[in-house]
Amino acid sequence: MNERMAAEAILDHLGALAEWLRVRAPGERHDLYVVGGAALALSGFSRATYDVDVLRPATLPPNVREGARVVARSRNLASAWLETGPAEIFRRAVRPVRFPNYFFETSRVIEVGSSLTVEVAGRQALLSLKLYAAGPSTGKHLDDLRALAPNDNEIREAVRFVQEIDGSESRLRDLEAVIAVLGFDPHKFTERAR
Amino acid sequence: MKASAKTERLLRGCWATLGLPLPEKPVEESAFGIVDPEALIVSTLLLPGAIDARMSESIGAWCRVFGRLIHYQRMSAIIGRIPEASSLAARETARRMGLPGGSSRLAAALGIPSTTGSKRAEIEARKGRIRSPGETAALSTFVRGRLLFGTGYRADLVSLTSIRRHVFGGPELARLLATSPSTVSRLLSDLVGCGFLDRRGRPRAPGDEFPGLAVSADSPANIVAISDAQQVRDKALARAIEGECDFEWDRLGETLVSSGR
Repeated sequence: MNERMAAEAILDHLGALAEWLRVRAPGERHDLYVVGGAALALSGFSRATYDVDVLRPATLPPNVREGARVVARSRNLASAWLETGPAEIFRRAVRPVRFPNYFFETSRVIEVGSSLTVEVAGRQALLSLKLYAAGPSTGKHLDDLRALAPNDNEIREAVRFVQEIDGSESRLRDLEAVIAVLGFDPHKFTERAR
Repeated sequence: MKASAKTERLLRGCWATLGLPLPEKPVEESAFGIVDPEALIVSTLLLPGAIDARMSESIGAWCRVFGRLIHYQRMSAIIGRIPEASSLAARETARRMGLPGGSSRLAAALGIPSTTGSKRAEIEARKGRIRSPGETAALSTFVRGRLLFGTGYRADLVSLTSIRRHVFGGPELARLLATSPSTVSRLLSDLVGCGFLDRRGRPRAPGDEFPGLAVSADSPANIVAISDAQQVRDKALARAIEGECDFEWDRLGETLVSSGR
């Protein structure tokens, strides 16, 4: 019911969704901006995920939501295999989130079908989101960050993104711990250091 | 969507029950289930391959003869429940059939201009061949109910209570009547209050009983789902789409699946 999906399975499920949309809502076109583990898998990283996280649109259009439900049924997937969890998190953030321009860059655009295009988030957006999600003990996100092998500039940009959303002391401590785990000197990057 | 011979026979039989002059034997509601007129009209529009030109004109004529017994608001609600692409296709079929044939209420229910419909003369000529509502009442529970109680949800709810061993919940009744649960709740309360129904929602003095519904407000959505399932290449997806169908109150839709398998 809740199996991890690698890139091939993700594309298969999205392909089924595109097929459903082609038949049920001909003429409709949808673009999904995918982040998280699915984006990593689709970017070629050896990664499997339980769900496909969509950042844009912030809410799945009714036909996409309905199609995803039928696809879940056809493939015995969790009902929330396609979700806008990240968008939901940022909607509830303490400070309003202004996504930097690099959140409009894509590393890959996949025409899944005539009705559906998947835009895979660019590298910096993935890093920033992963750093936002990571804590010192969240193995999955740390593994993803390690796999992305960021450089100093990318870490700096990701830290800026996280601190703009959450400037709290506890978040700062977490950030420093994560950065240290990744092998960087945390004080080079965090607000407290400046 | 291509309908099987079995589906076509049932569809035409249902129309014969409602008074259309067809060679087919009318569907016996006591054996096969009640025929819901608005659901039958919308289902027919979704199965254009199942009707010929003469039947199209006869349906147009039927809509004129039975105009005051058509529940237009219900028809509009039933159309509104199917996906937009399918409702557009249904409207296109209606236009090709020559509907609304001058009826502004039918035009509004179908969501098409009242000025369309090029077959008015043919439809008018066929009116004389349609069985009268009074005669049709002997075969059709819905028509009889509407002649007795007026064209409205109350009459249709009374008709549905004649289904054998029915234990409808409010939401299910609302779905089959194509109205809101609050309307159903109000009507049930009236019918219990006046002693027509008992506390469990069953008639206190049961009359004729019927095994279910041959065509119901569920039929159009089922037809659309089966049609969609036939169009997708992915077999698992097709099965899942078919799995969304609910045939408990839909003998017509059931024939489409059993013939397609």
